[in-house]
Amino acid sequence: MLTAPPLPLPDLARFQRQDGAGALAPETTELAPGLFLNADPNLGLSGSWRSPPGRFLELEARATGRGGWMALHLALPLGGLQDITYLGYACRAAGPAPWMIRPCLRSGTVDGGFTDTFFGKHILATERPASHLDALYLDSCPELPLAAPWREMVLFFPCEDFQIHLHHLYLFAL
Amino acid sequence: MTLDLTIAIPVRNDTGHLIQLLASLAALDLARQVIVADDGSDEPVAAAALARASGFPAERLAVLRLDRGRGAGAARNLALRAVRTRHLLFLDADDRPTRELRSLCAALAQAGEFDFCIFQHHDSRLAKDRLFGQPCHDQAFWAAAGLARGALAPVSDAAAAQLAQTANYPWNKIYRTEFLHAQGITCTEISVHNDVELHWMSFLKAGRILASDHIGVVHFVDEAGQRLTNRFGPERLQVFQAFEAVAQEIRRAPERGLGLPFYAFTLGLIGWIRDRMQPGLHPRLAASAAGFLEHNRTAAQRAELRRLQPEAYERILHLIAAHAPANLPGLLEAPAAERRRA
Repeated sequence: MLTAPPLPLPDLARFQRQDGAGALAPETTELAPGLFLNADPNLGLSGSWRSPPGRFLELEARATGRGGWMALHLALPLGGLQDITYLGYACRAAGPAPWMIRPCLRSGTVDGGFTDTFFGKHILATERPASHLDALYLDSCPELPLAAPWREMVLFFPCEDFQIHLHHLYLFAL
Repeated sequence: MTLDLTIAIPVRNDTGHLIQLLASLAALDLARQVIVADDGSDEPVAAAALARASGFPAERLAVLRLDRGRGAGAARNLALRAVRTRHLLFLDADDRPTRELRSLCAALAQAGEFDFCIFQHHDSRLAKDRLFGQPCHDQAFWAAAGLARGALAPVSDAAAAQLAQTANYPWNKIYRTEFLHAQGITCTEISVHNDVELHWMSFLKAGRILASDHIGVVHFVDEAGQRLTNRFGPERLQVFQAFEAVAQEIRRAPERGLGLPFYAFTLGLIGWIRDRMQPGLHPRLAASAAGFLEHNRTAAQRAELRRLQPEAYERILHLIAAHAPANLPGLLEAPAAERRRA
C-alpha cells in the first residue's frame, strides 16, 4: 500500500524538463540547486554534460588520471526515516559499452562526516536503454541513522572515460 | 511551447485499432489536429462516432475518404494535402505513441527549424526477447551513424547515408509540412512499399535533419495477419515504381552521396521480397531487378556495388541467373575499362 507520495523534488523535475548543457569541472559541477557532480581531483576529469528537455542527463566524461570517485549527488529533503518503509529509485540508462553505476543513500553525521548505504543492485548502462528499479527496505539497514542532518542520493560512476545517458531518474519513499 | 502537429492516419477496415490510437493521442495531448484518411473502408469511417468512442476532441478530428481502396500511399497523400499545421507525423492505425514521443515533441518545439526528425521505435516482435526498441537491422544503421544514443542531434550527410538504409517507416519521422509540400514529396500510390519514395526523397532533399533516440512509437507487426503488408503476390513488383522515382532523383542530385546506400538498400529489399514472394513470380521479379540495375547503374557503378555488397549482389545475380538468364551478361561483368576505373 502506498503510504506516502513520491518524493517532492521540484528541482529535479524542473531540471528534467529544461534544456541545459555544460562542461564537466575537474572537481564539482553544479547542475541545478541540490544536484551536482563531484569527482576526485586526481581524476583530471573533463568532458561535458547535457540535459535535453524531457531527458535527465547525458554524460561524456574523460579522465586523465587515477582517482577514487566520480558521482552524481542529489540532495534529498528527507526528515527522519522512522515513518518510511522503503526508499527507492527508478531510472533508465544507456551507454555505448556496459558501464556500472552504483547507487547509495548518503547520510550526514553530526561530526561532519557521512555514512553510505548502498542499494542491493547496481545499474548497468547498456547499449539498449534499460530500466532499473531498486529500493532499500529500511528495517534491513540498521546502520542507516533514522535522523541525519542531511541526506543525498549518490550515483557512483566509473573512474575512467565513459559515456552514460540517464533518460530518467525518479526517487520514491513509501 | 508545443509543437504545432498534425497526425495523419491511413485506415482501412480497422476502426477498433483506430479508436485505441485516438484515445492514446487524446490522453497524451500530442496533436493539434488528427486527419484520418479512410482508404475505402467497407463501412465508411464516421468522425463523430470516432470522437465519441475514443474521447478525442471532435473539433480537432477530420476524416477524409477515398471511395475505393487504393492503398496506404494514396490515403497518406490525401491527408498530406489537407495538413495545415507546421509539422506532420504519419501513424498507422495500430501504432501506439509513447510518453517519449511527448517529450520529443517538447524538445522539437525548442529545436529551431528542421525538415524532419527521425526517431527510434519499438517493434512488437522484440517483446518476445524482453527487449524494448528497434530491430537489430535498423539499430545497426543508427549505431553506424553514431546516433544510437542521444536525445536530439543534427544528422550529418555521412550519418544520413546510414539512417536512410533503415527499413521501417514512415511513422518514425516528424516532418515540417512545408518541406514536403515545397519539395513535392509524397508516397507512391501503390499497394505496398508506398513509403519507400517518401523516405528516400526526404533524405535526398532535406536540408536540416535531426535524429532522436526517443522511442516515440510502438509499431505492431502481425506477420500472420491479412494486412496489405503481409501480401506477397504481384503487387510486390510495384516496388520498382518507387525505386525508379528515387533513382531519377539520385541521377539529378548525385552530390548528396546517397546513390550507393540506396542501391545497397534496393538489393536488400529485392532479396527480402524474393524470400517471401510466391515462387511463380520469381521470373518477373528477376527481370524487373535486372532491368532496374542495368538501366540505372553504369557498369562501373554496378562493379562498385558488387564490391561493397558482395553477398546481396550475388543473391540478386543468382535470382536473375535462375529466372531471367538473358539479362545476366550485362550485370555479371563490367567492361574492362570501366572495371579499372571502378
